Amino acid sequence: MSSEDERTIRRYLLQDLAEDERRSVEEKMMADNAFFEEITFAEDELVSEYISGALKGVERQRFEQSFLTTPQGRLDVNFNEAFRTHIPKVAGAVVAQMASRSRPFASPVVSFWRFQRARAALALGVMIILVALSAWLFVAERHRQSEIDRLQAGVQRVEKELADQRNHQSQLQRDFQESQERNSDLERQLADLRNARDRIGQSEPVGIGILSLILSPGRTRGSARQTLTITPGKNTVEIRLKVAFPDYIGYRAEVVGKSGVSISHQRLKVRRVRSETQVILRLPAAKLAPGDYEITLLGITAQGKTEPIAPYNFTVAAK
Amino acid sequence: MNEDEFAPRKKTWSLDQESFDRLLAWLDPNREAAGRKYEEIRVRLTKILVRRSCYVAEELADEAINRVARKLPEIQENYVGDPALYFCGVAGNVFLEWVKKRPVSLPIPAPDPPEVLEANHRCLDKCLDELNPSDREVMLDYFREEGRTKINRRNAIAEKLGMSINALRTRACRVKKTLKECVIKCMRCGEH
Repeated sequence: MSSEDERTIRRYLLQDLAEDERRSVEEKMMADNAFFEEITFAEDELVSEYISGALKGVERQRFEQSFLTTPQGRLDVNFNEAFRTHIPKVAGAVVAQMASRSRPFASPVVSFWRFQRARAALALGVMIILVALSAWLFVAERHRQSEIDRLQAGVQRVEKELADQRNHQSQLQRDFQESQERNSDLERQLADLRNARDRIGQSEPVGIGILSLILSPGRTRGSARQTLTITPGKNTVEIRLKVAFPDYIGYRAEVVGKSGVSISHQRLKVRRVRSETQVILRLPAAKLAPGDYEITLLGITAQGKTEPIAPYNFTVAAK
Repeated sequence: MNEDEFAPRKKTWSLDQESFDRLLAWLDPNREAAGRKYEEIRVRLTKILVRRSCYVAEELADEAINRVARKLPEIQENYVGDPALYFCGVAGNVFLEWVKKRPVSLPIPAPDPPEVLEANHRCLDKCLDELNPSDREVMLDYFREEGRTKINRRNAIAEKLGMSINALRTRACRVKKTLKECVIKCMRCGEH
């Protein structure tokens, strides 16, 4: 049905066609079943338009003149009026009835919904477990990390103690070597003394011997000064200087006599006796004339510089 | 009803069985099909006359059919074409005769009292119960709402039933037409 046909039908129903157009429509109504059916549908829709108030003005007047003046038209209008008011109520009741009839079918829906709820609850439970597990893993990891930190600190402490032990061991080894050297030195001196004793006993006496003196740092005067008496046969004087600052890598000593002339300037070896550090200075006895002497002990730093440490005093007495 | 307007013709000629049988045979060799065609012609003639604001449409339609039946022995042999169109032409002449005799145009009557609407509702309920359930469901779905909602709903129904919106309209309107015929019959027969 074209829109032109629809317009023609509407004009026909509202008696708005010319005589020849109307006759043409009427003949088509008689011969064409589909067209006649379309006329009845359009007629019905026009009645509905009138009842709903959608039809206005001239069209409404034409409709009333066409439909309301005939018994058939009034039946159509009455029917459509009843239909328009009653059908929505009937349809609503039918929908409610169908809904109540379909309740048995609701149980699968309810079951499905319950199943969905059960699935949701299961998923929630799994989620809670996962969260708890994650929290537990997090705490365990923190605990493990702190344990690792603690163990690492312990390892570092043990390593440090081990290093200290090694240093101490090295120091002990050095002390041992020095003791050995000192021991060798003493044995050599003992051997020298024995040789000298033997020579004395077997041949003419010679002035061979060692005089020993231990000095503390600081200038001393009067009776506080140590006095050395060089007796005949003693050709070496061994002076041991107590060292207050044992941190130098080496030591030198400068012995200055009364005249201010330097007698000896030696690089000395360090000796440790118990907890005390000493440096040993050996001088030929012939060079020590009676009088006062001052020894200046010099320390040698790691950079090779020489620093004065302390003065020492002693006096050589007349023979 | 204004039956007197056509009394002279009714007195001079009435449709007898022989004439009626001839008329049906002209419409279709199969008598049953001929009967359906006769009813269709009567309904369409009535509709055409109603649309011409004829308040005695059924009587004029019957008069037109009688005239064709009476005239049939003369025209049957040489008539070419759809018999329905002949009826239409005769009905036009009958209508013109009626218009000439009609004294005045009837005024638009006052609305029917509420009882008529209530009777229509009762007949509507009765006729809805007589409908095929699937037809009733389609019709109720189709006509239950108005406006934009109605258009959307009808589109949804058409989609659900797998048919075009025009096919759905045709089906719903046919059911409504059946319902209307039932209700009108109910109202006329006083079955409400």
